[in-house]
Amino acid sequence: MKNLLTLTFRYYAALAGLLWLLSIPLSFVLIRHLVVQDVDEALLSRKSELSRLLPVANSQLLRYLPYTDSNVHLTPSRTPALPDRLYDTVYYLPYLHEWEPHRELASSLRIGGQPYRLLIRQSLVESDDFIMTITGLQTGIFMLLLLGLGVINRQTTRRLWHPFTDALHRIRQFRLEADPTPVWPATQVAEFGELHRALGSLISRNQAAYASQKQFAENASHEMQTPVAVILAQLELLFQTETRSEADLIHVQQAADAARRLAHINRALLLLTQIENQQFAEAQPVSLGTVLAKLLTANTDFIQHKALVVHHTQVGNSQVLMNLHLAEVLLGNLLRNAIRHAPVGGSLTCAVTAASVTIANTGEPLPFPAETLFDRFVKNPALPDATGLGLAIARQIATRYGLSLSYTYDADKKEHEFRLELAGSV
Amino acid sequence: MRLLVIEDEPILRETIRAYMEKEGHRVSTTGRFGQASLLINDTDYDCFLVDIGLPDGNGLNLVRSIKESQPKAGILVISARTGLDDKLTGLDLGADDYLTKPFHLSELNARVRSVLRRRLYEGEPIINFGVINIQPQSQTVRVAGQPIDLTGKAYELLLYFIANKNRLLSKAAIAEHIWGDSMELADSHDFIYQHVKNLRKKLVSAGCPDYLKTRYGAGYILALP
Repeated sequence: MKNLLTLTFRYYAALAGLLWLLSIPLSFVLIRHLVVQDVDEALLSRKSELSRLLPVANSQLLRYLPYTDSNVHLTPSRTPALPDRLYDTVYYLPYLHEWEPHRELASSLRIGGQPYRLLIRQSLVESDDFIMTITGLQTGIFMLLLLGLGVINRQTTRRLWHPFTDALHRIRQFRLEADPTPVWPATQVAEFGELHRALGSLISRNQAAYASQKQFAENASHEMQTPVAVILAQLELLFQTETRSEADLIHVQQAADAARRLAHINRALLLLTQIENQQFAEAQPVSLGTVLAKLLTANTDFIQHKALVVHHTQVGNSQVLMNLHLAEVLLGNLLRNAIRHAPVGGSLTCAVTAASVTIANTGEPLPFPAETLFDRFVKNPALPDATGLGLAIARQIATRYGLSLSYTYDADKKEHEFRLELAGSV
Repeated sequence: MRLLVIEDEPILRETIRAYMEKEGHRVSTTGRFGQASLLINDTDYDCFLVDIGLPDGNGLNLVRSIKESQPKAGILVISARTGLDDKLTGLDLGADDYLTKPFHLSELNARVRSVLRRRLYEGEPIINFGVINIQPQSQTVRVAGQPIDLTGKAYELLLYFIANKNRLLSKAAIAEHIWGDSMELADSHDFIYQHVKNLRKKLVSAGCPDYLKTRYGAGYILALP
């Protein structure tokens, strides 16, 4: 990729080169034409001067003329008056030892009734010299032009393009979910002004779309949770009616459990949508080891209830810049998944290092392919009440913060292991 | 106690009213922001139940005006939104508690009681039920005057039962009250059974009559014999 100005400069340089090549022959022809015209005029005026002087001065001037001016030849002729004829020719100049180009006028004069043939010539600049001089001059101008363009290019690139590079920088840094519409610096360049306006309106439209999407996700949750709340409240009243038979109570409770599951799924889907929409933008350095330790304490009741043997080790503390709430959801989902699927009396292993967090539990192999483990609504048929969204949410959060979340099953130890690795950590 | 229920969903509003009236409260209701504002300015209440998502205004603004005109009253915010922002804003504005839809009526009742207790009975914080008496400030539980060792979840469980005395409480409702959302239903039944069993054992061994009745497959009721 080349700089726009470098590319423009190349076209300018190519055009200048072409003009340079064309201008040399053109200048040569034009200047030579002017010179020849001038010389021709001089020759003709010399002739008219001679034809005016010679009849008066008669034989004396006629006799001395060859000695005074070697460029004029006057010889008696038999042919009567000839028309003037101008042409190029060459003569050997003995003092230069060179043949030099000349312009010559062939004409005739009548002096005292005697016709004379008149030849007047004038040396022309040598065309070699001529071409050399013109070429040199043109080349000099060409080089100066290129140099000037180059300097202006370099000098103006930074200053003139500043609004552009500045806008580029701002767009790179821009986060739709958090930043206000950027304020662009003033610019004199119409194109950049237009770019700023177009970017501004693009960002505004996206912000509006983002806000409405966010609003929709929240409204959808609201709209769904309220009817579920009505169902559950009514079922609770039914449940608390004292005359209800136990069979009825079980029906009511099953209906309530299903409605509650619906509410859980709805809440989990909303959370997934919000993570996908890059909500929960505020981030802080989170020590995953500390979060996990707190979660282990909060889940003590469940761990004790299943009589799980906990192996908790921590060497170093993984630090990640992320949203604290999402960090709690991520590790909480992994931990509860491990507790839920471990058999009574099984083991729960949590290992934290500076670069990774591992949560493992013993248990039978997965009843479905491991590749689908993080998919939505994949769940163990033995636990039909689970939402099947916990691990999907965990994966989504890990992906958002560039953490790698992997699963392995050790068939010998009968152990499921979830491993969270920090990208680019030492 | 006088309660004002501000909730736009009519069935839910009436259900809450019926439940709270049965608890002995005097309940007024409204589903409109404008009417709620008038009531807040004109009438004294002990506790407000405010739904944030009203069709004609944001309930958080009602929380603001309650804090201005009736600063001593308790405020319990109800919302269908799970967004953390709403929760934090609600609590920052001075709401005492925050409940997300859907909720158990028994949970709402327990929260209202807790809010009222904290707000209004600063001088008389003792809860009595039969021979059990509880001092919430020091979290001490006495059975027939003898202190018993009841801490953590067991203590919370007892408070919850007393708040909803004479009502059948499902295991799901109990689980959600004590452990919140962190427990999915799949885990709850046997787990709750164990915890209730432990609570009952502690009370009975301290000489307390067995107030806790089990309704098999359904839940538990705390009632005087």
